[in-house]
Amino acid sequence: MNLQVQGITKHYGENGSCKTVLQDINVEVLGGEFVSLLGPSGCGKTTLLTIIAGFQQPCSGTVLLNGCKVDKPGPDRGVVFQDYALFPWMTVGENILFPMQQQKIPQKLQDEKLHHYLEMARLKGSEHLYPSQISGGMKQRTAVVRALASEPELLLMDEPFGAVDYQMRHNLQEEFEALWQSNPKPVIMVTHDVDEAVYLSDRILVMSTNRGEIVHELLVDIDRPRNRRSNDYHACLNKLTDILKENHKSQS
Amino acid sequence: MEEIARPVRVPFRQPPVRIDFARMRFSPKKLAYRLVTFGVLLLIWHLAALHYHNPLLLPSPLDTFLALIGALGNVEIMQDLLLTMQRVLIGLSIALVIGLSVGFAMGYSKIVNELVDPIIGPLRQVPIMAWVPLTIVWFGLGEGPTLFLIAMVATFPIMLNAMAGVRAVPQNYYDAARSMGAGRWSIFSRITLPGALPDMITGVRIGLSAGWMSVI
Ligand SMILES: Nc1ncnc2c1ncn2[C@@H]1O[C@H](COP(=O)(O)OP(=O)(O)O)[C@@H](O)[C@H]1O
Ligand SMILES: [Mg+2]
Repeated sequence: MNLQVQGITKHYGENGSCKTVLQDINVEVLGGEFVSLLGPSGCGKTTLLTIIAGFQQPCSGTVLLNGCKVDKPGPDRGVVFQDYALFPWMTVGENILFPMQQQKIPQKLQDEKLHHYLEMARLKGSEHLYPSQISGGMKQRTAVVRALASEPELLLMDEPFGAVDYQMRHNLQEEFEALWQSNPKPVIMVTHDVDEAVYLSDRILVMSTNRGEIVHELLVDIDRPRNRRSNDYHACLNKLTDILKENHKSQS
Repeated sequence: MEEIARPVRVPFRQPPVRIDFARMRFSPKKLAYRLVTFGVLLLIWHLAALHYHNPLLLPSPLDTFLALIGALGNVEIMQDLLLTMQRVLIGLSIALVIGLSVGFAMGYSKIVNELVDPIIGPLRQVPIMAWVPLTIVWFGLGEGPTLFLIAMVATFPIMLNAMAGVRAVPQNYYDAARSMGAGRWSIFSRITLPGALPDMITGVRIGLSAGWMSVI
């Protein structure tokens, strides 16, 4: 897998009151790494992710996935939405089957895969429930395996742990880590949470409010699953916090 | 497919779900509530009839029931009833076909909406009675005017609710479906249709009852 984001620029608004959200952004993701885009709210993280997903077109620049130009959504890029976007009229099982049905996988194989994903996400026995009947954690796991079910090259996640309280957030992150380790996939995750980025990422790209410029890149080389109380973990957290502070100061 | 008619694009957002798909089932409790309501209404009617004691002003429930039984045996009345039913069914079918198809097209496509909306707006405002002389001129005194009126009354609620229902489907769901490889037909049948269903049902209910009432 090889994703190249080359010179992406995005303006919003008409010519009169044009706002530049992203200016000449370059990112490269190789192999099976977990990359986080970290930055304050409104810095253009979602915009960049939707361009990679193909939901929006950039004003200039290109996104290449394995050398092919990305210009529309496709099953090669699985997306986990911030509020999960599970279809409320389908059960958990039907939601997970949806991408497989679109790819016209034989019925028997679909059943086997559904079984596999339900097992993996600890959703066995809940496949006949509707999204309105399950907990936040179960929704999140359903959304993740639904995105995995189209067997994408790359997983895109927009603040997938954003909408919940602190404790729940930690739980979800730990659950995701376990799920991800049993099914490793390259990931690009958008977040504004420093702790979340350090807990999950191999590499963290720090975005600035100023036109989404990537001002810093940090490699996190700590064994998984990470211990939030370890010294290495804290050192990394502190370093990242300093980078963000410095970045904030230089802006104002 | 043209772009879905929606003014502002808000990525990764989703409004609350408007219908609980898990609970649309029959329940004996509901039936019991219905029976209680029905019973109380009958009782009030009966007491009121006792009070007036005049079958011309307000016949009692029992008398009314007996009259209904009598009417059921009367061939002429039954034929009239059948004719009315037939008219209503045809009129409502026309309304369903036109209302749902135009409503869906308006919700789906900005262009269709821009083209059709200027016609729909004024047509809706015409008082239903104003159509009567016109339709008699157009269709003569037979079935035509009645059918036209029933269809006319029922079409608009069905159409406008179908349109609103299609527009209320969050952009998120379309994005999610497309990123899972869904094609046009799949998006229509598995996202747009079920997503618009709650509003569609509301429209059809309003349309059908409006059609019924316009028969008289
Ligand atoms: N559809 C849009 N139209 C106009 N402005 C937008 C639109 N989407 C986002 N923006 C603006 O672009 C900036 C970046 O938005 P976004 O990518 O959502 O940031 P983030 O996800 O980092 O919080 C914000 O200032 C936002 O107001
Ligand atoms: Mg965002």
